[in-house]
Amino acid sequence: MQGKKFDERKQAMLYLGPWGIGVVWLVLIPSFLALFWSFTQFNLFTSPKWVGLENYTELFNDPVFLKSIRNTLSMTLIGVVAGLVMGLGTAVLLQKDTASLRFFRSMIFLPAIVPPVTTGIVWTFILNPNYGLLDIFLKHLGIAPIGWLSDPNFAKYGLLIMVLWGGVGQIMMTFVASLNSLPEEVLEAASLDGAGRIRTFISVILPLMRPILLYNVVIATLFYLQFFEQAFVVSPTDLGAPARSTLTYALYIYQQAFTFLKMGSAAAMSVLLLIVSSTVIGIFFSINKRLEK
Amino acid sequence: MRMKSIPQTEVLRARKPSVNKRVGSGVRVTLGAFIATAFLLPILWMVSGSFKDSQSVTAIPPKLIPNPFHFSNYVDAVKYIAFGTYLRNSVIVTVFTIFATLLVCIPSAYAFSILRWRGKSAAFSVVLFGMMLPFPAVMIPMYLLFKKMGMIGNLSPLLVPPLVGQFVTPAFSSALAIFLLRQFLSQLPYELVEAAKIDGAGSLRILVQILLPLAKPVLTTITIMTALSSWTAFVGPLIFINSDSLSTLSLGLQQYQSQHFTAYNLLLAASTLYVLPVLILFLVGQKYFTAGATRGAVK
Repeated sequence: MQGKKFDERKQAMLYLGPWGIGVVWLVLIPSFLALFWSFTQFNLFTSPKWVGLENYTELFNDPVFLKSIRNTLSMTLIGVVAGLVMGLGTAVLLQKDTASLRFFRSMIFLPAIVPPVTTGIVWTFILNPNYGLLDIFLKHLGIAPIGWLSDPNFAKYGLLIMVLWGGVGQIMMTFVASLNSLPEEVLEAASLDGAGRIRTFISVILPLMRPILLYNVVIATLFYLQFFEQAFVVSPTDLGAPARSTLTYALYIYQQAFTFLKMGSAAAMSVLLLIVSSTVIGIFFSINKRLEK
Repeated sequence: MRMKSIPQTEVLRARKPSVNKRVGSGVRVTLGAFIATAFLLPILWMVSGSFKDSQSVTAIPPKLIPNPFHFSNYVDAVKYIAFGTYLRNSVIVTVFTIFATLLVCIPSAYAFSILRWRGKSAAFSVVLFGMMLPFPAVMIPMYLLFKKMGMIGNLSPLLVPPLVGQFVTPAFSSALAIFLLRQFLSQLPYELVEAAKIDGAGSLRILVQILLPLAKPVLTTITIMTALSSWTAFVGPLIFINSDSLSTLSLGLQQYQSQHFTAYNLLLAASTLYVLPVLILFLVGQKYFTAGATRGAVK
């Protein structure tokens, strides 16, 4: 028995070998390099020069850096809430397993598989204030054209419309799966209790869905903290346009590295992102553990 | 939990379908149809625009059905950009990534589920962490590392990471593949493995001959999700690929968009061609997509 266990351990190491190399090479080493480089300054052509905490102090005095944080946080807040409300709403509406409702669910899910680049191309077209479908539709309702991606007051919302178009379906699918796996007795008992539909939903169903709600909040939060692709695609030649209103944190990392060639600052921003997202993940795991008990 | 002491008979009585529910279903279908159409419209609009000429693609009022259909847009779009080159690169990267991911993730998931060794759960938390790690936080150091190793200037930054179970796109990581497969394997009755061991089967034979045939649905989900995220990947190619001849379709289309935004109909035609394989895959294997989307979220 003892020999066998030893054997399985050796085999496990063998089976995990390639993946282990990958973790060390492409996760651990880059993370530690980011930490080291964040205390240095260099561009693509010079070698790192130690500057201590200068990158960090510089960043926190940089209004663009602070703006990228504000942009990211406000999009996170709005995007997470809107995504969850829309996902939950459509899930409750289309939860039942009939052919037509299943078909509608697939249609709502479909945008999730559309590549971000295509999403950007199609939606810059639809959100255009001159010939875009959305403003033409709004005009029929008597609303003046909105520069969804060109007006600094609206660009965040234009971007969020694009992202939610692709994201709501996934959230809905997880909610549908969760709704359909709720214990029947609890629902029946609640309706027996004379509880109305809305009250049943709020006081019985939602608490039961806490784990999946938490999961979606965390996944969506992590998505917006690292939001890059669609934000890049809508304005690749002038990142964050108009007026840096869509400059996300991740876009600013890219800009630090490849526009300003400030690798040290980019590394410092990477470290901060690592710390924040690790904290979010850590909180998620600890709450999740408590919920499971 | 509070209401577990309810007599069975009363529960049964309450199960009678109410009028309320039947009325509700009409509303559900109408509202559902409306929402579904709204979500589908951008895709239809893309396909529609891809058949219009450069004038009518932005014409007001908008028309969903092009008249006449300009099929030649597709020929022009393919000729206008280096579509063939981008396509070749995308296919190489995608096919390679699928095989590499399966090759690395299957043994890893096996080690994390069936094999018994100390430190397993601690090591597995690295997988869980890796599932959620933001790519933008490591992309710059990764780029500098690849540059030092002479990997910038060819396709290797997109090809080598999958070989060691890492994936340069945040959408569906190899950690997620390990997670899904491990979850499936740990739910299998361990007696299967015990019986095979008594028959004298080695660990590799147990994996290949007994476990993998059972895991076909999960493996299909992983294959499809890997194909999807590799085909649609954008950040990785953007950071690591610096020449047009190495660009994948996502990168090529994006560059085309920022340089020639006037030829919208051609851009839409190229985009349609780019999405087409994904749409076909979705129609064929829809349940695998939704399985991948709900991920390990619902146990």
